Parts: sequence; C-alpha cells; structure tokens
Amino acid sequence: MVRSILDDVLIVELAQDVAGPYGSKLLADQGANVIKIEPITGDTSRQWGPFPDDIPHIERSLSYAYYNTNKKGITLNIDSDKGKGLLRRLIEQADIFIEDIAPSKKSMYGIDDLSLSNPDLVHVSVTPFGSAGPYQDYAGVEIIYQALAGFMHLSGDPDRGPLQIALNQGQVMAGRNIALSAMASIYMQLGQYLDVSIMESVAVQPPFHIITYTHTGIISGRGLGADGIDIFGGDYLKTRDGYICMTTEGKRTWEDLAILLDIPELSLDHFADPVDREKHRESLEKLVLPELEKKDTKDLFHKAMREGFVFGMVQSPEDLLDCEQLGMREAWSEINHPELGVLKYPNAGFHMSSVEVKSDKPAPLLGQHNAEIYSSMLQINADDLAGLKSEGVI
Amino acid sequence: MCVEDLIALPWGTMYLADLGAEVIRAESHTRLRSRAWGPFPDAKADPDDWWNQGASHGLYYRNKKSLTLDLTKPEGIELFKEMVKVSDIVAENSRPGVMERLGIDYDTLKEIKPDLIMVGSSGFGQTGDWKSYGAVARIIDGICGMSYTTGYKNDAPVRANPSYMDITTGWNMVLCSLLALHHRRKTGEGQYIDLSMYETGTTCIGPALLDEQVNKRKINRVGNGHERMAPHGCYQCSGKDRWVVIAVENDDQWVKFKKIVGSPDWLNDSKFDSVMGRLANSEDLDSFISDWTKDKSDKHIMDIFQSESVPCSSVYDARDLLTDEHLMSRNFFEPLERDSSTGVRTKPYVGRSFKMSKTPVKKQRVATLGEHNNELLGGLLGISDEKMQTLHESGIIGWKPSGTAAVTPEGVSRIMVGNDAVVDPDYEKVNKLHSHL
Repeated sequence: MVRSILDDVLIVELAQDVAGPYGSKLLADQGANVIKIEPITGDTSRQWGPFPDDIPHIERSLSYAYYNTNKKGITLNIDSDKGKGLLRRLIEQADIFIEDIAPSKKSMYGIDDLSLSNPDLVHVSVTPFGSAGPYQDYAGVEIIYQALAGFMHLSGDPDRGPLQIALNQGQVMAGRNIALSAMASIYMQLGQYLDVSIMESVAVQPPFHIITYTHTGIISGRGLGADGIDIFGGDYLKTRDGYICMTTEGKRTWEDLAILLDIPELSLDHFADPVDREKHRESLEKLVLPELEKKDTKDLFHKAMREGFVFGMVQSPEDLLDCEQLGMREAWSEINHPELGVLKYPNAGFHMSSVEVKSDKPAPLLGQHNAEIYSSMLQINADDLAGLKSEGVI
Repeated sequence: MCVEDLIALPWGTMYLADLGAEVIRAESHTRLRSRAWGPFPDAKADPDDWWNQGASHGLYYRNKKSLTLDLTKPEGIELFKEMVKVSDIVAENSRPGVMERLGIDYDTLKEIKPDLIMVGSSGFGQTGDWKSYGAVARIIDGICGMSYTTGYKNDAPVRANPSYMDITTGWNMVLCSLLALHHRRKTGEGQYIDLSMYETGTTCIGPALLDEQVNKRKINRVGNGHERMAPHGCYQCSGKDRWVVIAVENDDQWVKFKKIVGSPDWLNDSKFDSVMGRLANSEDLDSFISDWTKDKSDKHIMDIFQSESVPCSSVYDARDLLTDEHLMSRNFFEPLERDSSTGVRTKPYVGRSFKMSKTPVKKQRVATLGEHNNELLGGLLGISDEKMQTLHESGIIGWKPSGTAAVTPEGVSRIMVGNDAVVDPDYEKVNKLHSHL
C-alpha cells in the first residue's frame, strides 16, 4: 500500500471560489502537491459562510475549508510586476496549472499562451463560459450557469418557476471536469491547454432532454419522473418524520407494494396499470398518503430496500454523519484545522485497494506556506521575503 | 471491458472512449434494457431495428465497441475471461455479489491478469449492510443529502435532478480509472476500486456537512435566493414558460441595474440602497422585478444586462441550447453517426465540458448490436468461423435481440419528458443547424 497516487505531480492553482479550487482539491486529496496562490486579501470564498456561529472570519469559512483541503497556501499580488515574475517562475515548475482568470485578462498576467514557454504544462483554464466564443466575457454566478445550461428549466415544480440546485453544484461539476481532464492529460503525458467552461460542465447533463428534443421535438419541462413510471411521479411524500420516494424500479409488482405498505385496497383492479393509477390518482392518494404519514422514514426505507424495491428518502447532513453504512465504509476523513478543530470531511466516493485514505491536511491559513514555498521552490531567503512583504507583493 | 447498464457507469466509460480508450461493452442480446430506452427517432421504435436506433443508447454508448456475450452461460464467461487477458480495465455496475456469482470477480480475474484494474460501481458500495440495495440516481439524490438542501424558499425538499448523481458518479469513475492507470504505470500494480454513488453524492454537499458539525444547522432552503446577493432570483417573462435569472453581486451592479430598469418609483426606495437593505426586503424587490420582466422577452433582458456586465441569463430549454450562438461557435454539440443500416440520420448530441488543445476527440459513432463480435472474437482472440457459428447457434453471441428482449419498446419514455412538455414541430430544422460539423 502506498500513501498517495499523485505525489509525483505538482499543481499550481491560481483560482478562487468553488470551481478551480475544487478541481485541484480532488487531485490534492489523492496526494498531488498543490500550491494555492491567493491574493493578499485571500480567496473570495474566505468571505463566505457558513462560519462557526455565523461570525465571519477569513480563517473560518467552512466553504473554503472544504474546497481547499490538502493544499499549501501562499499569497501573491499578481497585479504587481514582481508578482507576475514570481507567478511565472512558479508555473515553470508545475505539471498542472489551474487558473480562473477571465479570458480578456489572461494576457495581462502573461498566461494567455504558455505552450511555447512551458510545452509540457497541462494548463487548465476554468471560466464561466469558456475562453472563447460570444459569451466569453459575460458575467456569471452560480444561478446563471444553472439557468443558461438548461439545468434549471428542468428543476422544480411544473406549477412553479424553475429552481436552482443548492450549494454551487454547477461549479462543483466544473471542478470534477477540471480534475478529470487534467488527469487524462497527465496520464497521456501531454502538455496542453484545457478550456473548461462552467456553463458547459452543467449543460452536458441531464442528457435526456437534448436527445428527446433532437429525436422528437419534445421540449422537456419540470416534473421529470412522471406518473406511470414512478409512484406519484417519484415525488417526496411525507412520512411521520421525513420524506420518502417510491419508484417502480427493482421488478417489484404493484401487489408487492400493497403488501409492503399494508394497504390491501391497492391490489384492486382499477389500480392495476399505470394509466389506471393516473386516472384514479386522487383516490390512490387518499389511500396511500395517510398511511405513509404514520410510518417512520428509515424503517420503511430499509424494509422496502431489503425486499428489492428501489426507494429513496431525504437524509439531512446529520443523518449522513450518523449513517452506519458511511461510517463502516470509512466515507469520512477526520481533519484537524487550527481554527475549526477536528471535523469529518467526505472522502472521494471511491476506495482504491492500492492506497490508504490519506486526506488529512486542512485547508491552509492565509499565506501559511509563504516562507516554505518561496524558499524551497524559488530560493527566496527570509530577508528578501520580508522585502516582498513590505512592498505588498506577498 | 464493461459490463454496464443504466447511466452512471456508461457515462464514465463514454468519457474514456471519447478520450481514446478502446471501450468494449460486453452486452446481452437477451436482456437489452438500455438499448430499449427511448426516445426513438420521431418517437417511433422500428420493430425490425429498434435496438440500434435509440437515442439514449446513442449517447451513452458512443465510440464503444459492442460484443454480445451471454454471461449466464459458461462459454460466455470463458470468452469474457479471454478478453480480460488483453484488457487494462474491467468496469462493471451489476449488484454487488453478482460478478462473484458469475465467477468473474476481481480475485478470480487478477489470477489471469495480475495488473488488472477493476472498477465496481454501485449504489451503496461493495460492503456493509446496504450493499445489496438497488439504486437509481433519482433516489440517491435524496439519500446523499442533495435534496435536503434544495427547495423553494422555506418549503419542502426537492429532488435536484433525476440523473445528476449518475452523471457525477460517472465523472468520478473517469477520475479513479485515470488515477489507477497512473499508479499502474509507476508501480506495475493493478487494483480494485469500489465506487459508491451514495458516497459520491456526499462529496457534493461538503460545506453543509461541515456546517452541521459546527453549527448543528437545520438548513433553511433559499429557493432561488442567495445569502449575500439581492436581487437574486428567477423572474417570469413574456411567452409560455419563459424566465430570466438576475443576480446583483454588489452595489456597483445595483447602480447599473437601476440605470437599465429606468425610473419606476419603487427603484428609488432608499431601503434598496444597501446590500443589507436589499437582502432584508428581497421579497418586495422580487415582486417589483417580476412586474417589470413579465411583458418583456427573456433574451432581450439578458442582452441588456450582460451588456452592462450584470449577471443575467435566460432560463434555457433544450431548443434554446441547440440554437445558442455561443455553444454553436464552440461546437459544443457534435454530430453522432450511426451505421447506414439503421436508417437513422446523423443528429447533434452533447459533447464534453472541456476542450483539449492537443487531444482531438473521436468522431462520434455508435455501434450496432454485436457489431464487433467478429473483430474481437474472430480477429483478436482468433476464434474460427466454425466456432463462431456454434457460439451463435447456442445463443452465446448474437446480432439481434432474442427471448423476452425481442419486444418493441415505446417511442418515448415518459420519464424523460416531464409534465409541462411542449412540442416544437420544427426540430429537424434545428438539428440541421449542426449538420455542417
């Protein structure tokens, strides 16, 4: 067993927010050496919550803490000439350079074309709409990515407006695409420019509404998971203490469901097929919903799953942290952060037999590794470092 | 070598195929779940060739090779093992325990291919009390915590999306496969990877998990709002189901916002001057903005706000995406070719979320059922024509569905449509916009 897979890979990250940092976190968690460059005021996500007790503090952002594990952090003012020079020297040593500078500003920082000076470099640019095209300079924030990518149109209730998905998922998707496209280039041993568009990271999915349109002209709407396929459209239905959703996956019959829920009337003929069930939805709801409201979510979920149904339930973060399945599978790593203490962070979602879980270093404090990195990588001694500090370069 | 069904794993191996891997799909011609998925061209499945015509199959299986093998029979398993000997990765998403029952689990296969990388993708992982539970993405969304954090303001949880967890698990499959290949190149070692859709889902909500531990927070769903920005919302425009999204990040953008909207009285109310004031009065603000947008075109609003660099966009549907000038200029959609025998026209499909300057992507093509049987079994493994004939006659391999699989499916699966779907009769004209590629 080895401790990490990517210990031979050096990544320089010049990115803020979620997308770029999450992309390099995914590789840092697998052992890549990541040098995160922050402006002197810090990554903007340090300003965001959640914070302990909701008190803002640049070292206590839980978003920043999550998206920046296992990295070393340095500060650098890339708007200064000296800063630009130091940036170039750091990039020279990198295998992967991940940056989120706006397309029109890349040349200002000398990073618009690194292919001649650094032919082996894997240069990942992540921007809202990609580094070329009519929208390249458009303003983007999370809800814009979800809306423009077609994702939001499909989410939510048909009788209400489109709904954004929580927790910056568009940028999370882009982060995954950064990690996998960079990793593909590393495996191919091919320096190249990777143009990751956050909007396109969202727009590749869900895949079915595009193919439905191109093959039938049907423009899909909200309320996916229609009656006849899933029970009550696969909607979340209220239980005594939460929500459950019932699907017809798993080759269980409607009669099996009648037994599972202990509602014999469900086996009546006029509920026999999906079309009938839709026709009699009201009476079906009267039969089923009150019974569900008497049931305990987890009991019903486990009973159904053990009998071969495919049911869902809505779990809270608290449920997840208490979940025995996640606990026994070591889905968490405990990481000790100097300001936040020991907390459980989710691991990668996969377990590789060749490596131990090794995600154990907290997100860096602002400028925490300045002395170490500037000395070891750029041979800048303590006196020069103090000079750079007083000049406002670091 | 893939033994794959549904979406999550096929989505991952599709990326590997796009990147140039030779991906071989060992598929059954007696159980054809994913080939039976619609939609079919013009919403009609041809009884004589539907298994080569479905759009879902076109997407998830593009650039893969099709090898039919009946893995319930010993001869099928023997051939599978022969293929494994010349493969780098075996990827499968059958229920945990099935590969062992078939005699093609990792411990068995690594005896014949010591540096094999094997990825087992499942709903809840290969171990633990939940391992045998079935899973589809739309239930994992709730189980992994994604739905809990999503919903209209102060309202019930809402499923994020019926296939998000598939897609994200597929991407995770690509990442772990590439990590394992990198590791193998450095050390010569193969390995087993246990990929869980449930656990992949938990990685999407990291900050909420930390928040729970630190603050014991019970999430207040924010709908389309935002904790630091106002206005931040989705507003109805003229036309059926047309919407626009506007997000004002700071006071500078608020000044621009006011300039664009003009001078209705409400806009000059001093309570909206500061971010704190706008956040505190966001509901009033949202209703004023909705009044302003309701008789305007969403695309016009997007243009005027974006010309002032205020974040704003239409809420795009499938047609908007396929006709968008930005995506067209980036060749985001790529034409997918089918074998001429299928009679299905080339149509645009989504590409990838990234452009690679030196790694051209393969031209999209999808294999017919059993298309590579001869190439792989005959050519690669050297099986004689006579033996191929016997394999065909005994049903180990095939080129057409047989048994219960031979039932013509419906043209469109309702789950793909949603409840307020509309039909655009001119969709073939839109498809043609991409035919130059």
